[in-house]
Amino acid sequence: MGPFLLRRLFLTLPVLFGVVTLVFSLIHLVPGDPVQIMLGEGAQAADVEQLRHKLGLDQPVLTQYLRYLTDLFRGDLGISFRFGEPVGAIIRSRYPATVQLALLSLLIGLTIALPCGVLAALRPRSWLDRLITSVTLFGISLPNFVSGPIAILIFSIFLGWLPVSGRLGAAHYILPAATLGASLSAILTRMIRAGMIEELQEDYVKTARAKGLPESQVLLRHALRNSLIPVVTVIGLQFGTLLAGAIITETIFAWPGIGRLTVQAINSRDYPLVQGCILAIAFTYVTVNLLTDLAYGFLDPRIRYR
Amino acid sequence: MTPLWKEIGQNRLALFGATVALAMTLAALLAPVLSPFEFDRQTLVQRLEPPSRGHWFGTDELGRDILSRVLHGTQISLLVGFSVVVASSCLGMLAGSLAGYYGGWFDEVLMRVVDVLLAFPGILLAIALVAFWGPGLEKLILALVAVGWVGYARLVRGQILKVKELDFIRAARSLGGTDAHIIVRHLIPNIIQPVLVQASIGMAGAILSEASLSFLGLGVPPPLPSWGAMLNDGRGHLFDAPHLVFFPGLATMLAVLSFNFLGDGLREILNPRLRFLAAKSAN
Repeated sequence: MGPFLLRRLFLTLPVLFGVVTLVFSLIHLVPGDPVQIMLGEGAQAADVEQLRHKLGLDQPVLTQYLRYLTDLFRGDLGISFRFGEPVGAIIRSRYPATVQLALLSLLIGLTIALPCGVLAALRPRSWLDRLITSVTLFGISLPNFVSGPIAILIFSIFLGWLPVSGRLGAAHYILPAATLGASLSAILTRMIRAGMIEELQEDYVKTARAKGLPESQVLLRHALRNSLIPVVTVIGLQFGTLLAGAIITETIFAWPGIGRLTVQAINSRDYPLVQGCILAIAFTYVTVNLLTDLAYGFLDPRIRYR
Repeated sequence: MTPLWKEIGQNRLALFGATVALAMTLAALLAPVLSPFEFDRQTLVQRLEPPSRGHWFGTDELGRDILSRVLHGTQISLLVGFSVVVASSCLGMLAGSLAGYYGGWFDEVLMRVVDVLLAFPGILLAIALVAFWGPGLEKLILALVAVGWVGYARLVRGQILKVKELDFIRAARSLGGTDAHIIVRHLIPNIIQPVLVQASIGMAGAILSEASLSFLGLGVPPPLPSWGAMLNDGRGHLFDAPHLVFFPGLATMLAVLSFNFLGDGLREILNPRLRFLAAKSAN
């Protein structure tokens, strides 16, 4: 496991370096003068120059880049133009809300997907399979910005059961997590179904049945366990989708997480904060993917020796 | 061999998807004729009216006809979807086939670029690009292409690596076929099927991304109608005028669903293993 771990860590470094470089270069994509855009049309020339100097944008690009890397290494992501506070501190204060939301959504997604995927795979092409497959396709096609307002309309406005927005207590988690988790469950159900259908054709399943094992054991202890290996990868990849989806979900439900912070930063042209948020989400995604790969290697020894 | 359109006709999922997609394309093309009003005509005395004979889908907070805006929104969605899919697939096929065929440093560099771009989840990179570029239809398309080509490049590269080792490619090479001839005439036609499936699903993804970015205020600038922007505008009137959210939401869902169904159906039609499993379980 040691060499595998080292190799995988070593492969992640250039990706992180590329991500940092891309995020750094974003500010240079702004058409025109980013400092002027941040301060607005009527800004005084002296203020523009002062901010330009503060952001280091009056330096040659290479110097800016090296300074960005050095600061980043020290955990310094700059100062937010809107909040007047260090970007790192703002992100740290919002980060837990997003991670909690993503983890709860993942839990909801898995709770729905596991039984549905197995049930659909037991009799492919049956009415139940077709029903589950169609519902999951609906789920995949229903964007969060449609399902979110519908959920608010039904559960908050008509029924008055759940709060519309904010993060004040346990009840506030339900709607945003269910909105994110529902679309995830659709994707996971399809993955589990496809994996189970393939596994159920394998010889070891026939052997297990021939040995007289109860069907529940054949399904749960043999086929499901093997079909879950690729699902682990998908969960890793989908965690990224959850983080990106959180940008919309958090906006709908006024959830004080990093997704909503990104939108607020974009709207107020707070470029250092936008860069910080994008970097934080991308780093989280890369880390989750690394952990997923390691888990995959742990679950399937063939991966480790490849 | 049965022609593809006949196979689509026999696959219920694909048929449903293709029919709805075709209907939406027609609606987009005929939007100026089908729309009862100009999409940007404001009648403030008729604001937030529920669906009625005069306005089948009701009116928005500026008294604009929602049906006309949804129909014109179809034009924007399909234009973005089509442009993104065509540009991304062409760029991805070019990069992927060159990397897969030649290998070497170009392949190495391309794969590292792909790794970096894939380190950004979902539409995050598109959001980041548009946030810095500023909103606009062309910038939106460009941002989605910058993110979208990667998937095609990886898919095509993988397929080329497999197919280029087959005997008929060696035969073509020994008969004096040039690299360009082998790639264009032999390799691409043999790997086009999964690209078609990805393009159909990519169309759904591009429509969804456009709507998402417009929902966040980063997409098509007003007064051009976009389903995502309409949904965002309607959020403030969920209680008094839910139709503001319902119709653009339904249109988005139908568009995404139809291309997902078509992609799923195509995958089943073009994948012999899935067809075998389907036939086996039907017997």
